[in-house]
Amino acid sequence: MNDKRPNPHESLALITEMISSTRQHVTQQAHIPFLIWGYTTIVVTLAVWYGYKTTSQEAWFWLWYAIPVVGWLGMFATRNKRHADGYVRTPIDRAISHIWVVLAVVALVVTIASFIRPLPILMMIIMFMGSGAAISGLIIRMHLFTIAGFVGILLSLLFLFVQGIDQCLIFAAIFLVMMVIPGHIIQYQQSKVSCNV
Amino acid sequence: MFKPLDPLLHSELRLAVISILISVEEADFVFLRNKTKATAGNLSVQLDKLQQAGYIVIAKGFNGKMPRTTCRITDAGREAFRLYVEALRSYIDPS
Repeated sequence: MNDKRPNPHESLALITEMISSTRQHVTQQAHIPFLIWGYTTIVVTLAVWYGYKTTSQEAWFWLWYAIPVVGWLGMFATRNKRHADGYVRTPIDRAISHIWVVLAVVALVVTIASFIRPLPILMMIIMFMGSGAAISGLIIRMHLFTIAGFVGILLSLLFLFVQGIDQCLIFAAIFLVMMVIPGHIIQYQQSKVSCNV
Repeated sequence: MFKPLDPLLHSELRLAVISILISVEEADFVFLRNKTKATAGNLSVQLDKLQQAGYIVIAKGFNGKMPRTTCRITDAGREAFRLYVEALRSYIDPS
Protein backbone atom coordinates (compact mmCIF):
# COMPACT_ATOMS: atom_id res chain seq x y z
CA MET A 1 0.00 0.00 0.00
CA ASN A 2 1.31 3.47 -0.85
CA ASP A 3 0.34 7.11 -1.13
CA LYS A 4 -1.88 6.64 -4.21
CA ARG A 5 -5.20 8.52 -4.42
CA PRO A 6 -8.04 6.01 -4.71
CA ASN A 7 -11.27 6.69 -6.57
CA PRO A 8 -14.48 6.80 -4.47
CA HIS A 9 -15.31 3.13 -5.08
CA GLU A 10 -11.77 2.04 -4.17
CA SER A 11 -11.94 4.19 -1.05
CA LEU A 12 -15.14 2.53 0.13
CA ALA A 13 -13.77 -0.94 -0.66
CA LEU A 14 -10.58 -0.13 1.27
CA ILE A 15 -12.49 1.14 4.31
CA THR A 16 -14.68 -2.01 4.34
CA GLU A 17 -11.68 -4.32 3.94
CA MET A 18 -9.66 -2.69 6.73
CA ILE A 19 -12.54 -2.63 9.22
CA SER A 20 -13.51 -6.21 8.41
CA SER A 21 -9.97 -7.65 8.64
CA THR A 22 -9.36 -5.80 11.92
CA ARG A 23 -12.49 -7.35 13.42
CA GLN A 24 -11.39 -10.82 12.30
CA HIS A 25 -8.05 -10.30 14.03
CA VAL A 26 -9.77 -10.24 17.43
CA THR A 27 -10.59 -13.95 17.22
CA GLN A 28 -7.22 -15.16 15.95
CA GLN A 29 -5.55 -15.85 19.30
CA ALA A 30 -8.73 -16.40 21.30
CA HIS A 31 -7.83 -20.02 22.06
CA ILE A 32 -4.62 -19.22 23.96
CA PRO A 33 -6.23 -18.01 27.23
CA PHE A 34 -8.60 -20.99 27.13
CA LEU A 35 -5.66 -23.42 26.84
CA ILE A 36 -3.56 -21.69 29.50
CA TRP A 37 -6.34 -21.50 32.10
CA GLY A 38 -7.74 -24.89 31.15
CA TYR A 39 -4.48 -26.82 31.47
CA THR A 40 -3.41 -24.90 34.60
CA THR A 41 -6.70 -25.69 36.34
CA ILE A 42 -6.62 -29.37 35.34
CA VAL A 43 -3.02 -29.95 36.48
CA VAL A 44 -3.50 -28.14 39.82
CA THR A 45 -6.83 -29.88 40.46
CA LEU A 46 -5.37 -33.33 39.83
CA ALA A 47 -2.40 -32.47 42.07
CA VAL A 48 -4.78 -31.45 44.89
CA TRP A 49 -6.86 -34.60 44.37
CA TYR A 50 -3.82 -36.90 44.33
CA GLY A 51 -2.12 -35.18 47.27
CA TYR A 52 -5.18 -35.25 49.49
CA LYS A 53 -6.18 -38.76 48.43
CA THR A 54 -2.78 -40.18 49.31
CA THR A 55 -1.97 -38.18 52.47
CA SER A 56 -5.35 -36.90 53.80
CA GLN A 57 -3.53 -33.61 54.56
CA GLU A 58 -5.76 -30.56 54.11
CA ALA A 59 -2.65 -28.48 53.45
CA TRP A 60 -2.92 -29.66 49.84
CA PHE A 61 -5.90 -27.33 49.42
CA TRP A 62 -3.56 -24.32 49.53
CA LEU A 63 -2.43 -25.50 46.12
CA TRP A 64 -5.65 -24.06 44.66
CA TYR A 65 -4.03 -20.64 44.88
CA ALA A 66 -1.44 -21.82 42.36
CA ILE A 67 -4.13 -21.56 39.65
CA PRO A 68 -4.22 -17.73 39.43
CA VAL A 69 -0.45 -17.48 39.89
CA VAL A 70 0.45 -20.02 37.19
CA GLY A 71 -2.36 -18.81 34.92
CA TRP A 72 -1.23 -15.19 34.99
CA LEU A 73 2.40 -16.24 34.54
CA GLY A 74 1.29 -18.22 31.48
CA MET A 75 -0.60 -15.22 30.11
CA PHE A 76 2.46 -13.02 30.70
CA ALA A 77 4.79 -15.55 29.07
CA THR A 78 2.62 -15.83 25.95
CA ARG A 79 1.99 -12.10 25.48
CA ASN A 80 4.51 -11.89 22.63
CA LYS A 81 2.94 -14.88 20.86
CA ARG A 82 -0.53 -13.39 21.33
CA HIS A 83 0.70 -10.12 19.83
CA ALA A 84 2.93 -11.65 17.16
CA ASP A 85 1.06 -9.79 14.39
CA GLY A 86 1.18 -6.56 16.34
CA TYR A 87 -0.70 -5.24 19.32
CA VAL A 88 -4.29 -4.10 18.94
CA ARG A 89 -6.96 -3.43 21.53
CA THR A 90 -10.59 -3.27 20.50
CA PRO A 91 -13.71 -2.45 22.52
CA ILE A 92 -14.50 -6.20 22.29
CA ASP A 93 -11.14 -7.09 23.89
CA ARG A 94 -11.91 -4.65 26.69
CA ALA A 95 -15.43 -6.01 27.22
CA ILE A 96 -14.20 -9.61 27.39
CA SER A 97 -11.31 -8.87 29.71
CA HIS A 98 -13.64 -6.92 32.04
CA ILE A 99 -16.10 -9.81 32.10
CA TRP A 100 -13.34 -12.25 33.13
CA VAL A 101 -12.02 -9.83 35.77
CA VAL A 102 -15.51 -9.58 37.30
CA LEU A 103 -15.92 -13.37 37.24
CA ALA A 104 -12.48 -13.86 38.78
CA VAL A 105 -13.34 -11.44 41.60
CA VAL A 106 -16.66 -13.24 42.21
CA ALA A 107 -14.85 -16.60 42.24
CA LEU A 108 -12.31 -15.22 44.74
CA VAL A 109 -15.03 -13.86 47.04
CA VAL A 110 -16.88 -17.18 46.92
CA THR A 111 -13.65 -18.99 47.73
CA ILE A 112 -13.09 -16.74 50.76
CA ALA A 113 -16.73 -17.20 51.83
CA SER A 114 -16.27 -20.97 51.71
CA PHE A 115 -13.77 -20.68 54.58
CA ILE A 116 -16.59 -19.30 56.74
CA ARG A 117 -19.52 -21.45 55.61
CA PRO A 118 -19.45 -24.66 53.52
CA LEU A 119 -20.37 -23.86 49.92
CA PRO A 120 -20.53 -26.04 46.78
CA ILE A 121 -17.44 -24.15 45.66
CA LEU A 122 -16.38 -26.29 42.70
CA MET A 123 -19.90 -26.31 41.26
CA MET A 124 -20.11 -22.52 41.63
CA ILE A 125 -16.70 -21.97 40.02
CA ILE A 126 -17.72 -24.12 37.04
CA MET A 127 -20.90 -22.08 36.68
CA PHE A 128 -18.95 -18.79 36.75
CA MET A 129 -16.31 -20.00 34.28
CA GLY A 130 -18.96 -21.57 32.04
CA SER A 131 -20.80 -18.25 32.00
CA GLY A 132 -17.55 -16.50 31.08
CA ALA A 133 -16.87 -18.92 28.23
CA ALA A 134 -20.45 -18.66 26.92
CA ILE A 135 -20.50 -14.84 27.09
CA SER A 136 -17.04 -14.57 25.45
CA GLY A 137 -18.16 -16.93 22.67
CA LEU A 138 -21.31 -14.89 22.09
CA ILE A 139 -19.37 -11.61 21.93
CA ILE A 140 -16.66 -12.79 19.55
CA ARG A 141 -19.14 -15.00 17.64
CA MET A 142 -17.24 -18.24 18.25
CA HIS A 143 -20.09 -20.63 18.79
CA LEU A 144 -17.82 -23.44 19.96
CA PHE A 145 -16.88 -21.46 23.08
CA THR A 146 -20.55 -20.59 23.66
CA ILE A 147 -21.62 -24.23 23.41
CA ALA A 148 -18.68 -25.34 25.59
CA GLY A 149 -19.68 -22.78 28.23
CA PHE A 150 -23.27 -24.00 28.35
CA VAL A 151 -22.13 -27.64 28.37
CA GLY A 152 -19.88 -26.80 31.33
CA ILE A 153 -22.79 -25.16 33.18
CA LEU A 154 -24.98 -28.23 32.56
CA LEU A 155 -22.21 -30.65 33.58
CA SER A 156 -21.83 -28.77 36.88
CA LEU A 157 -25.02 -30.58 37.94
CA LEU A 158 -22.84 -33.69 38.28
CA PHE A 159 -21.55 -32.22 41.54
CA LEU A 160 -24.97 -32.99 43.02
CA PHE A 161 -24.23 -36.69 42.65
CA VAL A 162 -20.54 -36.88 43.62
CA GLN A 163 -19.27 -35.92 47.07
CA GLY A 164 -15.90 -35.43 48.73
CA ILE A 165 -12.48 -35.11 47.17
CA ASP A 166 -13.56 -37.04 44.06
CA GLN A 167 -15.42 -33.88 43.01
CA CYS A 168 -11.96 -32.74 41.87
CA LEU A 169 -12.06 -35.35 39.10
CA ILE A 170 -15.39 -33.99 37.85
CA PHE A 171 -13.98 -30.46 38.08
CA ALA A 172 -10.92 -31.35 35.99
CA ALA A 173 -13.02 -33.28 33.44
CA ILE A 174 -15.39 -30.34 32.97
CA PHE A 175 -12.46 -27.95 32.42
CA LEU A 176 -11.16 -30.38 29.79
CA VAL A 177 -14.51 -30.33 27.98
CA MET A 178 -15.24 -26.65 28.53
CA MET A 179 -11.86 -25.04 27.81
CA VAL A 180 -9.08 -27.35 26.62
CA ILE A 181 -10.90 -29.29 23.87
CA PRO A 182 -12.60 -26.20 22.34
CA GLY A 183 -9.27 -24.34 22.64
CA HIS A 184 -7.47 -27.02 20.62
CA ILE A 185 -10.27 -27.21 18.03
CA ILE A 186 -10.10 -23.43 17.50
CA GLN A 187 -6.30 -23.60 17.37
CA TYR A 188 -6.53 -26.30 14.67
CA GLN A 189 -9.08 -24.29 12.69
CA GLN A 190 -6.93 -21.15 12.91
CA SER A 191 -3.83 -23.05 11.76
CA LYS A 192 -5.77 -24.38 8.75
CA VAL A 193 -6.89 -20.85 7.87
CA SER A 194 -3.29 -19.58 8.21
CA CYS A 195 -2.02 -22.35 5.92
CA ASN A 196 -4.65 -21.50 3.29
CA VAL A 197 -3.80 -17.79 3.27
CA MET B 1 -23.54 18.05 -5.66
CA PHE B 2 -20.10 16.56 -4.95
CA LYS B 3 -18.67 17.32 -1.55
CA PRO B 4 -14.92 17.97 -1.27
CA LEU B 5 -12.82 15.02 -0.06
CA ASP B 6 -10.41 15.70 2.80
CA PRO B 7 -7.01 15.60 1.01
CA LEU B 8 -5.35 14.21 4.10
CA LEU B 9 -7.58 11.15 4.14
CA HIS B 10 -7.76 10.85 0.37
CA SER B 11 -4.62 8.73 0.20
CA GLU B 12 -4.67 4.95 0.16
CA LEU B 13 -2.35 4.40 3.11
CA ARG B 14 -3.63 7.17 5.37
CA LEU B 15 -7.22 6.11 4.70
CA ALA B 16 -6.33 2.50 5.53
CA VAL B 17 -4.72 3.56 8.82
CA ILE B 18 -7.71 5.69 9.84
CA SER B 19 -10.11 2.88 8.84
CA ILE B 20 -8.25 0.48 11.13
CA LEU B 21 -8.03 2.94 14.01
CA ILE B 22 -11.73 3.84 13.75
CA SER B 23 -12.66 0.27 14.75
CA VAL B 24 -10.15 -0.24 17.58
CA GLU B 25 -9.17 1.55 20.77
CA GLU B 26 -5.49 1.44 19.91
CA ALA B 27 -3.09 -0.41 17.62
CA ASP B 28 0.67 -0.51 17.45
CA PHE B 29 2.97 0.19 14.52
CA VAL B 30 3.58 -3.53 13.80
CA PHE B 31 -0.16 -4.21 13.58
CA LEU B 32 -0.73 -1.26 11.24
CA ARG B 33 2.22 -2.29 9.05
CA ASN B 34 0.95 -5.89 8.82
CA LYS B 35 -2.58 -4.84 7.96
CA THR B 36 -1.63 -2.20 5.40
CA LYS B 37 1.42 -4.08 4.05
CA ALA B 38 3.18 -0.71 3.80
CA THR B 39 6.90 -0.22 4.24
CA ALA B 40 7.98 0.93 7.70
CA GLY B 41 9.38 4.20 6.32
CA ASN B 42 6.29 5.14 4.35
CA LEU B 43 3.95 4.20 7.20
CA SER B 44 6.00 6.26 9.61
CA VAL B 45 5.76 9.33 7.36
CA GLN B 46 1.99 8.95 6.91
CA LEU B 47 1.45 8.48 10.66
CA ASP B 48 3.35 11.71 11.28
CA LYS B 49 1.08 13.55 8.83
CA LEU B 50 -2.04 12.20 10.55
CA GLN B 51 -0.64 13.17 13.92
CA GLN B 52 0.24 16.69 12.77
CA ALA B 53 -3.35 17.09 11.55
CA GLY B 54 -4.58 16.05 14.99
CA TYR B 55 -6.34 12.97 13.61
CA ILE B 56 -4.35 10.48 15.68
CA VAL B 57 -2.13 10.48 18.75
CA ILE B 58 1.05 8.47 18.86
CA ALA B 59 2.48 7.17 22.12
CA LYS B 60 5.92 5.65 22.50
CA GLY B 61 6.26 2.96 25.12
CA PHE B 62 7.73 -0.44 25.83
CA ASN B 63 6.47 -4.02 25.69
CA GLY B 64 8.93 -5.64 28.10
CA LYS B 65 12.26 -4.50 26.67
CA MET B 66 10.93 -3.94 23.15
CA PRO B 67 9.92 -0.41 22.13
CA ARG B 68 6.30 -0.07 21.04
CA THR B 69 4.65 2.77 19.14
CA THR B 70 0.92 2.85 19.76
CA CYS B 71 -1.60 4.89 17.79
CA ARG B 72 -5.15 5.88 18.60
CA ILE B 73 -7.66 8.00 16.74
CA THR B 74 -8.78 11.35 18.18
CA ASP B 75 -12.25 12.90 18.16
CA ALA B 76 -11.06 15.16 15.33
CA GLY B 77 -9.98 12.05 13.41
CA ARG B 78 -13.38 10.42 13.92
CA GLU B 79 -15.15 13.52 12.72
CA ALA B 80 -12.85 13.81 9.69
CA PHE B 81 -13.51 10.15 8.86
CA ARG B 82 -17.28 10.66 9.20
CA LEU B 83 -17.20 13.66 6.88
CA TYR B 84 -14.97 11.78 4.42
CA VAL B 85 -17.43 8.84 4.21
CA GLU B 86 -20.32 11.30 3.84
CA ALA B 87 -18.47 13.02 0.99
CA LEU B 88 -17.74 9.66 -0.67
CA ARG B 89 -21.46 8.90 -0.69
CA SER B 90 -22.10 12.07 -2.69
CA TYR B 91 -19.79 10.73 -5.43
CA ILE B 92 -21.23 7.22 -5.46
CA ASP B 93 -24.89 8.15 -5.10
CA PRO B 94 -25.17 11.82 -6.22
CA SER B 95 -29.00 11.79 -5.94
